[in-house]
Amino acid sequence: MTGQITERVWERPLIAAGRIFLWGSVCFWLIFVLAPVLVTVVSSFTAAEFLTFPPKGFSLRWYFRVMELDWFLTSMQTSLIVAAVSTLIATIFAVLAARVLTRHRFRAKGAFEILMLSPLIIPGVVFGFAFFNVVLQFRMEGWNLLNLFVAHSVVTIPLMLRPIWSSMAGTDLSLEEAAQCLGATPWVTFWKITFPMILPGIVAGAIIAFTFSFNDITIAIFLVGPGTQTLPVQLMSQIEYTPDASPAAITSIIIFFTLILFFIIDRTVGMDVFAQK
Amino acid sequence: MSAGAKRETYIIGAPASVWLIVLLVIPCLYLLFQSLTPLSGSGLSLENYANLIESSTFQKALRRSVIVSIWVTILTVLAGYPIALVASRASSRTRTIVMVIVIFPFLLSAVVRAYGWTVILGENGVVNDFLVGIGLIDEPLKLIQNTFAIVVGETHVLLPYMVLSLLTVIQRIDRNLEAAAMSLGASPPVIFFKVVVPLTLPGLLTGMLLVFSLSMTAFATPFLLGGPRSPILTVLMYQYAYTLFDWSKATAVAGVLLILGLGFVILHRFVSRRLMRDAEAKS
Amino acid sequence: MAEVKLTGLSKLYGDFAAASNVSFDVESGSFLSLLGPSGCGKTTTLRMIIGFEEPSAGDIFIDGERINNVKPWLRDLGVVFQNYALFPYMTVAENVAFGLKRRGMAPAEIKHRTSEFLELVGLPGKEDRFPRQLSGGQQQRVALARALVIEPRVLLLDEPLSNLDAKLRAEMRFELKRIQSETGVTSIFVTHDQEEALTLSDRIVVMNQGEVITVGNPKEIWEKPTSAFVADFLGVENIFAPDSFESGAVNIGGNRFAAEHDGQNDRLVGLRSTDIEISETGASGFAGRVRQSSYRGAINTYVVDVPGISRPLYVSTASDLPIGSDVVLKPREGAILILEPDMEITAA
Repeated sequence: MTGQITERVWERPLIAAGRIFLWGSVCFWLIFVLAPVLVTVVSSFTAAEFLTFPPKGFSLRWYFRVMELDWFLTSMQTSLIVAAVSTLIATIFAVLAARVLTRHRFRAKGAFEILMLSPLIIPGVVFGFAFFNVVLQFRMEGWNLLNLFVAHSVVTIPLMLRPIWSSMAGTDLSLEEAAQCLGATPWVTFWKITFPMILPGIVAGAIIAFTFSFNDITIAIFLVGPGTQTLPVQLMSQIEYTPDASPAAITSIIIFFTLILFFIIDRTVGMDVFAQK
Repeated sequence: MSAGAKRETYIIGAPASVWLIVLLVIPCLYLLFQSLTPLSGSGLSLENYANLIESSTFQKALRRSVIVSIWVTILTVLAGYPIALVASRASSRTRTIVMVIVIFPFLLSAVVRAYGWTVILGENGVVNDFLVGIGLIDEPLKLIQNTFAIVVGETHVLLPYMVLSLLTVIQRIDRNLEAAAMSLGASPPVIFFKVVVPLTLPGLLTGMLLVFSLSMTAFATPFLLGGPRSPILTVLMYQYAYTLFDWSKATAVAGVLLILGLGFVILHRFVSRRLMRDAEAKS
Repeated sequence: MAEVKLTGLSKLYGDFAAASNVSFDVESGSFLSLLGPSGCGKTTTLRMIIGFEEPSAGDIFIDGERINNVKPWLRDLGVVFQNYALFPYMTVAENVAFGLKRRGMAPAEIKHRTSEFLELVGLPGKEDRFPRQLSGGQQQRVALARALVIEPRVLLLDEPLSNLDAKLRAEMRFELKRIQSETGVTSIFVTHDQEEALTLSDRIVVMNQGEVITVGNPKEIWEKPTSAFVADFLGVENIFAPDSFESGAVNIGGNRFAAEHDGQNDRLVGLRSTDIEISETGASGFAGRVRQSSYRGAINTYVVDVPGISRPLYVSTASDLPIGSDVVLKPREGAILILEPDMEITAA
């Protein structure tokens, strides 16, 4: 008969140590994750002339200062417009692609899917360069806004595709059939029946795409020009000349809006929207 | 499949396909084409690539990319496992909080993150102020605008990928297996190393592959945190294109990156499919 | 109401024929059921009539007009789906009004019609509810109202009662019948439940493996099925090969019984368990031995082995008979069914 398992002398402290190590490392890494964000936000409230951490005093002066900065307001506006337009364009393409992928059977489906996901396969910086290269060939490097609209709408298609696709796959075909029997043409059926049902997916995808476009540097850096700067790119160059806390204030404003976006995603669609391929 | 329905498929599928082919596939092909047509104009050749591979700048940059990516992968594993373990066992509320914290930086722009790290790692930053303040060092350490900062920054960005990869596999482990191990006398550390780790190996490997490939092809964070003097591969490409206007070198690096990117995706698909099959065969 | 006519309708998927050479007529105002087991092609046929499947061959006529090439949303048919397919984000009233809106009816008229038809299906006052707030039976009535309110030429129902529990199903059967006769709309009903088909229909089309096996009114089909498949489907328990045929008669178990048949020697005999008289030895008939019994309250069903017949016979009777006893069986007069052998008879 095999004997009882006897606890070895070193086992209990080892388990305790292991547990401490586990929770300790979790805390360490969570602090690591939050550190840049917290430090930036906290130091943006400094009353001093220069950025320090911990901040000296408490003041909102930098936030007021930021509102007067022309470059901040114009580049913010540009970023918002680019994000909105490119998301809109990408939505149309993503909805059409999702439709084909869910409702149609055809041999080239695998290839089609790969094509739709191709912007994720190609390194962003390579696409930025390749696109810029073509733009140069056509001497359109001055058409910054247009280039940004188009380039961003390309890379955000796969980002939008997944939530819309899963939303559409979950809808019931018989509802569309019922609508058609009642006299609704395919066009009417789509808008009155299908669209309301895939709206959550579209909203989730749009938020992801909008955020991506707004935050993008990798592609924007190739396509911006003298009159047209997006916020991240502009911020990047301004930071070098700005030892005060205004970049921190700007950054905090962006963080704040991102948090709000986060809550919207959580309340509407839930976090599974970030699941990997 | 009726003819009408097939036509409908083409009509609906065409817009997105055309958009992507014209604006993504063709520009990339054109880039490759340019990389294969050196300025010494004799038609297609690999001359650009040959020149590139011989240049020490390229070799250094490649080495840097690989080293950075290896470090990042190791660190994300060290960070990812504890977080994923705790998250998987915790109550749903705690898990959500942890996930929110981990994913949050993901939603921020690279500039925002890089600025935060600069504040922390810079010459007058938090770390240096602290170390000098307590007298540990006299001169501030150079923690920014170098490879170290890139590793820190990339680990920060890519951590969510690793956590999610691990979380998925850990959650799929049959709790009965752990219960069985425990009933047989295994203590928690033993269970972790002898039960959890082997079962999560597929997820770990695909996660590592994912993080490594993302790190190799990342641009924004390395650009902002690494110095111009020690570029990694992607930043090197940018420098050749935008700063030095050396199109031959730039397109060649682009070609290399393209092949790397494609190679990683194929490898990833292959590995994950193989591992899934193995995992199913064992269960 | 309209008349429907199908001629030679077929649907092929590669080599597989989901429906082949389906032809039948539906008289204006009548109720026809497509009856058969799953996979028999009844739903495929229905979908071809609705317009969701393109026929590989054959034609569909409604009131003489060939509708093969007419788009589904222009066919003016009412359809009730198996899962009701109510639009989840619309109220009951909006669901019902959907078809009317497509036809450009005035809002006041729509409102009036909607309440009229909701009352017809037995759901007065539920206009502002949402589908998820209704029970299965209620949802079904809404689906019916939605299909009827547009006053379609033909009403098509795809197994509408199969998602309801038994009691509700029986109730809805009567409701359906009532509504159909009140509105007088030509109806085509798809089901696998023979009781439903028999209760509701003016005519029944029995299908199997994509083909039409038989067409007739309920009485004909029930009392005198001509195919082994139909008989079996309708619950005829005993289908077997007799000893032999003679002119005007058939030999079973060594006895001769009068039966009308067409002289083909491969025909099978069908007998309902309730159509066999069973008694202790001595009476006239053929011999058998009771193997098993099953008490069912008012009636008992016995499994009786008969020498010469490959399968045991099921006999239902009120009398009590002990297992193992020798008995005499005699088919009731006129109850012997002569059946085409279109089905595999397995030995017990």
